[in-house]
Amino acid sequence: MNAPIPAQALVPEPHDVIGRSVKRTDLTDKVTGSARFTADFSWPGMLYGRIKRCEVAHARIRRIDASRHAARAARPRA
Amino acid sequence: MKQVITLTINGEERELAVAPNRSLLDTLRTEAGLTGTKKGCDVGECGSCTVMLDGEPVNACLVLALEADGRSVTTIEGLQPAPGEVHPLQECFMRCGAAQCGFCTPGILMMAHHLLQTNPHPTREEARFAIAGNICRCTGYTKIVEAIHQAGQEVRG
Repeated sequence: MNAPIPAQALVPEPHDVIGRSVKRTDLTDKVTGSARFTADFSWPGMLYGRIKRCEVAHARIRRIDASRHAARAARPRA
Repeated sequence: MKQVITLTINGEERELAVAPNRSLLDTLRTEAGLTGTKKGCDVGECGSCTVMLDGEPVNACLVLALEADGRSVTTIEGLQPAPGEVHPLQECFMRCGAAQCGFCTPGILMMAHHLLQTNPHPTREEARFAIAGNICRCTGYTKIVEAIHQAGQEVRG
């Protein structure tokens, strides 16, 4: 039988991060409502997109008439 | 046609021009520029737009701006005691890790704040019931409930 290995406490060097509770940098913004999500941004003249879904099952798209929307997008805004 | 309404938002009186079909939520986010109140579903299911209207929590997406005319609104921006300071409840949320993506957090904080005003030392069960109308897809609620519970315990001690 092997001789028992004497127990020796491992005393690690203190670390800056490992083994410590690190405060998340984003939490203050998130609990105060100042965190900015995508929908919270807006710019003057910002355009909005939307998805136009096909109204017919298994249809083949031959062309898309976007002239009305392209004209609207090109229009300068105050 | 737009109409002018008067809202007291976080103690500050504001006059805002809104269309008759404008929700209080859109008014706060767009006309008043306070984007801390979140639009999750816009149909009253998720609770992320919770604000106080005359001290009572409401889903701001289900209240018309015109209905709120002359009334007082408190949003998440009004929860901080002073700029640069956070409310003890917000402190608890941070310490407990009760916010992950943070989208539902403002609404839940408003609801939790109202709970603590009406019931200063809620049990975990009562905390859970209070935020039953607030959906969180990240946390699984455990840490949120813990944060609200701890906030109540701290007021006691």
